[in-house]
Amino acid sequence: MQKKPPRHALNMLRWYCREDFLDEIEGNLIELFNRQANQNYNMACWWFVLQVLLHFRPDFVKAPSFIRNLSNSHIMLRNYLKIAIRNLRRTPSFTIIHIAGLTIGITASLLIFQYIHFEKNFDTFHELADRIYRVPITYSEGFGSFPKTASNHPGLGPAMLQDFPEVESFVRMVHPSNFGGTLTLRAQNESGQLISFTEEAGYLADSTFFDIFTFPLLEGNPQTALDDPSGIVITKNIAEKYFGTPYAVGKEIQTNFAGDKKLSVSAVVNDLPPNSHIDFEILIPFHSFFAQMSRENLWVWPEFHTYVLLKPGATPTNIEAEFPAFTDRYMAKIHEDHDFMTYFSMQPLLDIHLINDFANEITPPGSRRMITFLSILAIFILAIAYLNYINLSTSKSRERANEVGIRKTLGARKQQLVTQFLTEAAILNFTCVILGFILAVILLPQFQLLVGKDIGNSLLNSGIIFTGEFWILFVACIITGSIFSGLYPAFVLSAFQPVQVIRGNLEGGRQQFSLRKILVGIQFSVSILLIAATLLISRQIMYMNKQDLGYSKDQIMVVKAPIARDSITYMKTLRLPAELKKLPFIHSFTKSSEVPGRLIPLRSNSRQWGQANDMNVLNYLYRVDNAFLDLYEIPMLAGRNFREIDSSGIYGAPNNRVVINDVLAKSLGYTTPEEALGQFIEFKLGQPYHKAEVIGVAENIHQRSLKEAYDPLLFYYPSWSNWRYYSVKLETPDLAGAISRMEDVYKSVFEEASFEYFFLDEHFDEQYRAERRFSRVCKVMAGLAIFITFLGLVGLSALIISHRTRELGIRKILGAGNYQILTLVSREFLILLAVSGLVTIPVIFYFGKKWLENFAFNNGLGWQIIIVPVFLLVIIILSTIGIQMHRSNAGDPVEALREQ
Amino acid sequence: MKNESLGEFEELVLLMVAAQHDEAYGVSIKDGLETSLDRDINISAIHVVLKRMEKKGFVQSRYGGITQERGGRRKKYYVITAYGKKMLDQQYAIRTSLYGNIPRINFS
Repeated sequence: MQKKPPRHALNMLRWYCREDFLDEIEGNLIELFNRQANQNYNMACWWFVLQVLLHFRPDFVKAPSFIRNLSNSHIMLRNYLKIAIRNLRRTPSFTIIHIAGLTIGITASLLIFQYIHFEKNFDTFHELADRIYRVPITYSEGFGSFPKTASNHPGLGPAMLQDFPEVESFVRMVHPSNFGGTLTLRAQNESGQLISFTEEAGYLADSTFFDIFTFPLLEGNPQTALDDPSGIVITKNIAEKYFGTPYAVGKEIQTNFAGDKKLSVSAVVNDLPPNSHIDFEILIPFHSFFAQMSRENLWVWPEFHTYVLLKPGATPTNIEAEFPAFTDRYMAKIHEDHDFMTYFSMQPLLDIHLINDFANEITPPGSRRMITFLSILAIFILAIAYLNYINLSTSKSRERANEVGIRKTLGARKQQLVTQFLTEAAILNFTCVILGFILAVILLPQFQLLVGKDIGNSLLNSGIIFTGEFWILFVACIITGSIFSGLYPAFVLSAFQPVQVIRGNLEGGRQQFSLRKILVGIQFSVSILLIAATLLISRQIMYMNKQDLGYSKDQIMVVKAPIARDSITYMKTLRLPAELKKLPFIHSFTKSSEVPGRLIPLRSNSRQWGQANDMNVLNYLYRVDNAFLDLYEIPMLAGRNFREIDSSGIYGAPNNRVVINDVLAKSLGYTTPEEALGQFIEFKLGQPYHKAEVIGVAENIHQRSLKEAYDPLLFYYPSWSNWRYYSVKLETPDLAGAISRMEDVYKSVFEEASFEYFFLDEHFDEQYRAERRFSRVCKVMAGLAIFITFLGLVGLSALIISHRTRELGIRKILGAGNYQILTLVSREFLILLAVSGLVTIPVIFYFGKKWLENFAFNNGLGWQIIIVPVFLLVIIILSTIGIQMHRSNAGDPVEALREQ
Repeated sequence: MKNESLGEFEELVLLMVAAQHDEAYGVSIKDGLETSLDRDINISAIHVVLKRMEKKGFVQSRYGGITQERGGRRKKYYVITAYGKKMLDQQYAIRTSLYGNIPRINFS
């Protein structure tokens, strides 16, 4: 009986082997197999398998089935691909222009997409995110125009838990500054040294914090981390700073809070996700403190960020409807006493970052304007890139006309031609999307610097590429891009009538020029807009920098004052200024509660003495000593500065002499500064109103950036104060030496506190960070837009010149000069540019005005904003065309005419 | 055709095809070479070489009849072409002339 070779091996051979070789190979193998099988069947089987594998080589393997099974349309598609690639290679300069333009556009929009994605996905990492709400406060009109605040009263959380069945849990966070000072931590580092820092991002929080929020813990149990009143939760960052190791659970930290209590680290939090609106380094359990808090404070202290967790399935609508009654229950008396109303609302956690105009935020909220602006930029740049493609491929149609004519004569249908040109567009788009993606990954760090935000490590790490959104964008980019950029050229090209083409008559293509003009016009307009925006922003920033702020900010160094916690440290705070003043390079010295450069947190109401409650106006309280106005060189409009005797010398004594600034004087109802002199006003300091005499009216100063109007300021000179800042005017060429001398003095008085300082001009400048960022982004994007437009111009002008070589040559012979020819060719573009300029003027003016409205002090629009972009584009157009003409020898009639 | 080269194993197979004139097919070539060279030869190598030489035009092929021992597959017979023969002759001439150039060497 004949023995069979192994079936699977045989099937495999039959599967891969080319039909025309199969007879020979299979036959030979089986013959040899049979010979061996008679002796040793198993060996023969192994041999056969080995032989089948040995024959698996390119010489014998048939082509993959998808190629073999190609039907005619597939073959045509393959042909399209081939033709497309040949076409792209035939005109490499055009291909490069296409690819460069589109790739830039796609890269920019991918990066912007990632930014928007990041901004729109704030706080999504909390497992219970959709059930967490924050309760902010809005005040009734007229209550000293208090802003809406993100934080709420300490009594709110417990009351809500008690009154609303929907509420499962709540957590309050409060910044230690509300308890009279900054938070300072002390600990022994690994080498046994006592180190101490002042920490900004510390919060006192309820023990429910980790039940509601999901932050990754490196060490410790989230359920119990904040239960022990003597525990403290720190981030990895802080642990490394104090202990040199992230694993710090059980180590001791001393705080200046709760009576210099020793706390032990109960948990270490891993790095916070960058998309968290709650940004903390330290959490101190506060529930024991809350319990002791006096009941009067419960509803008059809106500094507690309060988040509530709703039960699964519960909606906030019910609670919001109940809020008026709820507010009445707890705050009726307060409302009545002070004649105002508060309104609570339920703000979803996921809305906090973007839908937000509250004061007192934990982190600055995202800017919806920035998102809109960036989206528009992305669309603009992508549009310019696609318009380039449309323009160039339709203009190139003359070169392709013969091909189309012959294809049509040979029987190609219009639809087939359209498919062919779309294939070309698709290849190009696909290449560009891939390139753009790679570039986006590479350029992400630069982009993050540009927008000044850490938006996740990279496109890959951030997990964006795993989201459906991303792939939809990706595929949509290719498909719509191909269709958008390929469809019109495809129809124009396929519309040629073969007979006319072959006769050399291309009049059918005349119509496209009007569309081309529109497209070029759009490109010009977008470029003008972007350049104008860049100019507008940098002009405004320049203006704000040059503006006189009403005080001097040069050579002023500000030292953060240590906090007086007890009588010993209080004595030290008295000694420190005296010691500092002795230094020779210190020109002058002043103590104050605030320095220019930020919104003053201490708000108050004031009115003329004896007026009713409803005459209250808002003012900001500025505690200063008698040197402050002099050091900052704030001029007096009327009256005098404080003198030593104006502070009464006893803590708690009424502050009966004040200096107000001009806007406050006006809003109090005094028409001239002189009128206010010697008048009595009352202002609120803590609970009671104080009666005080106005001894001077100071000129207005820009306490905050020039975005804001002048703040109404009330200066008073208390005898005893927790001064927060010592301002020092330096007079020395050796700044570093001066700083280290001051540090020595500081340490000699306060050995345990850290010496912290900043320079006033830098501090003030911080406020313009957003504008600077805006300006940087604008500059880069405008640069890209100009570049892409420029690429398009290069391509178009090259084409136009090559079409008109003969004409230009003849003109040259008849006596036209280089200059005339340049005007002739560029006239079309210049007219378009003029039209674009006219069209964009109203747009620039409208949006420019709107943007400038954000600045209380602005520079106006200025003629440069419209002239400069147009002028810039004129230069670009003329130089591009000039260079192209020079390169293509358009000016040389002999060459030009010989060519044809 | 241009100057085609002939590798060592190719030359052996071509010689065998020529020797078994009109009766040469994969297995017979393998058997023949194994007997003359006294070493194992892999059939896949022979297949590769045959295809390659057919492409180069050294051999031609034709199909034979179906036999039972081959699982119903036809034999493919190879025969040397004039071009292939010329190639062999050239190769032979070169070798003999080179061999003739060897001086007498006494190895003993």
